[in-house]
Amino acid sequence: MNKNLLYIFLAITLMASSCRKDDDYVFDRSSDERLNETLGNYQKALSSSQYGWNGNLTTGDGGTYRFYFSFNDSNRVVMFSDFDSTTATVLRESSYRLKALQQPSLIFDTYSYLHILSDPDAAVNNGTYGQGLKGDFEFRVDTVTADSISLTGRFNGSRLSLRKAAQFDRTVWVNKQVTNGVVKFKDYWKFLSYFKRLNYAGTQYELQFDTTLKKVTVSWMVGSQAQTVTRGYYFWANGVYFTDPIVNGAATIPGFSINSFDMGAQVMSVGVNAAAATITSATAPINPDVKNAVNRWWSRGATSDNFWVSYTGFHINGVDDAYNIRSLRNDTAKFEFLLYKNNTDGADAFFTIYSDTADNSFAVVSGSWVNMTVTASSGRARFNELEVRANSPWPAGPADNTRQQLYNPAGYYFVQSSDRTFDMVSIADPKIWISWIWEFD
Amino acid sequence: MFKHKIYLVMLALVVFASCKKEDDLGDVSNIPGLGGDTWATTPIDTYIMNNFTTPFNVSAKYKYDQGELDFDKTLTPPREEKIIPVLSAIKRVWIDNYVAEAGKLFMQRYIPKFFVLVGSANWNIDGTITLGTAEGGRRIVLYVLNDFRVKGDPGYRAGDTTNIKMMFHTIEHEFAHILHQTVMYPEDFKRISVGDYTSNWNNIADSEANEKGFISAYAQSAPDEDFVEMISLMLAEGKAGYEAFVAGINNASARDKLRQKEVIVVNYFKDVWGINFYSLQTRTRNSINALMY
Repeated sequence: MNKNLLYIFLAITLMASSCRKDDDYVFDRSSDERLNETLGNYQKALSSSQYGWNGNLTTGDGGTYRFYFSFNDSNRVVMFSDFDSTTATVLRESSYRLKALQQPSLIFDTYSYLHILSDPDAAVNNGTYGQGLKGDFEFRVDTVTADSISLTGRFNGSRLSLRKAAQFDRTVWVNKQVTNGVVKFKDYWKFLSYFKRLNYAGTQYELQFDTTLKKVTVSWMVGSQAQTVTRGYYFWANGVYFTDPIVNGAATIPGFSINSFDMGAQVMSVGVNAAAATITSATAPINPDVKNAVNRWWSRGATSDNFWVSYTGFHINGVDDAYNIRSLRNDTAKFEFLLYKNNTDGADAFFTIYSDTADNSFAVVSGSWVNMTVTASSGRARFNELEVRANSPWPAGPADNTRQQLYNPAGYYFVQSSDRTFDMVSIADPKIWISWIWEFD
Repeated sequence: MFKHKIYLVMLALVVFASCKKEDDLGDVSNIPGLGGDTWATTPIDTYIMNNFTTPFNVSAKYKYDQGELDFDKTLTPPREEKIIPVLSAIKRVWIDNYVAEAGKLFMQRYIPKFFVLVGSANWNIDGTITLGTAEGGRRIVLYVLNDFRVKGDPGYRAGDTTNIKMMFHTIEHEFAHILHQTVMYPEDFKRISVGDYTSNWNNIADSEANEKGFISAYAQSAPDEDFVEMISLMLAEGKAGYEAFVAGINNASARDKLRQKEVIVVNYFKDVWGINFYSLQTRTRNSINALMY
């Protein structure tokens, strides 16, 4: 009896539960209909902006690039980009489409300025081989409002934010004001001194540009306290602009336009918020990271089996490899790089490394054992020679000049210029520096 | 026991009968992307339609579609201005010459039906690049279109000839696979280098493989690859290039093996497909030369 009941109960349960025929959608229409409507709306939004769109793309590495897009309704888009003076000048047409991937997506499907950042050929964009600069050209659409669209890259997760352009914005591009910014910024690298400061409204703001990642670190003093912020930057309206303004009390700096550069006086006259300002050389850093950078540099070498290299030696007075160290060679080998290996036993290695012209094997040619001391309060590093390595003399000329420069008693400041590079700047003369590169993981 | 069975049968009936759902599928013509991507037709689309799709039922996808490519690679679509030059070069060097030697019907029947065009190279982890791949005799992916430059293009330099030759090497290679997968080559071919094939081919330099009687290192991976590498490299290098190549090999038995393979290839083309291989070789090389010099 019990068993019968059980079966009946089971049957009822099954009948009751097995058939739920209500097909009601949670939404009032099918997903396909809604998707088509969404894609249609996005299409309308993209092509409806009379003067196109201003776009800021922030790559997977955090670099910011500015674009101009104008979409039509037959899959064509025209573009400017601040990547270089050509892309900022020549309007280029390519194709795009909206597609329902996992999310509604905007795909730039033939080569455009956007693809330069994603090109795996580092010769195109100065990025990494196989990876480029971690841009994207397939984006999922996150939000669409009346005057903005924000998108996220599907491959590298870069962010593209589009803002509806006004006639003025288009004019800035068409009148080559972005090109001007790109071109005039080249003058910034004609400053002979390593340290540069923007003088605006009575305050000095130190500028440290990282052109690979397109970031700038700005430092200034408030009383005796140093302030430091890092921003992305892009070219716009005859100059350089920050992704977010620098705010110092009442002063706000959105960026600067470049008027002219006086090579002799080493002064760049710029405009900030339409007021005149200047960029000038400086002899010392403001960024307080100088006190820590030297320790990071030293311990990276000391805690690893690897070493720092410099391929071009000292940069002096605007000249790369001023001592012409790359001309060094002997009967069987030629100069390849300078090596600095930090050692915990107090004797660091400072060598010139040659590569054999026949079999490419490396050998030490000149070398010294060196002791480095750091003044913690200022971050100053000084090098003393302990002894010349056995059978590795420094011949007069490029090699010995480099060696003597290293031991300059005034010492050096260290500035981290990227993940893998540190610049070592002479305190006696900030027009002299050497870049140490970490080629290892 | 018997009762239980009855209950079970009844239960089954109840379950089957209780659910008859007839879901309305809705308007299926509305599914986005059904039937492939669409866009406003451009001159490039018209060119592909007139020169590839209509005569040979071949399509060429030049717009970026991640689904056709390696998901873990950074790749870019081609520049639009490169597409027609590349496709017309492919048509002149490969399709037109086979049509001239074997007839249009032959080409319509065996041509791979789907080309995917990619602008950048396909960078491998070891720093090498892949220039082309093919699958199943149907789909050929061609990379580095953005660096494709022929004689007369701005910036053309001698190094670009490598790109041109590699592109046709890839195409002829894959097409040769289709041919031997349709009608197998004589078994004798496999006996020429028997014992020398190795899966370790990627660690062998081309020059080393040459001295063993292989036209390239990849040819050493398997008899099928050996066969199609013979065809593709003989076509891409031309008669003169091939003769110079063979003459440059030191090992006499290696030269002999290459000659034996050459004879089988030539006879295979003649007996199976009625194609004069040397004539095809001359035409192909002349077309490539016209692009390069």
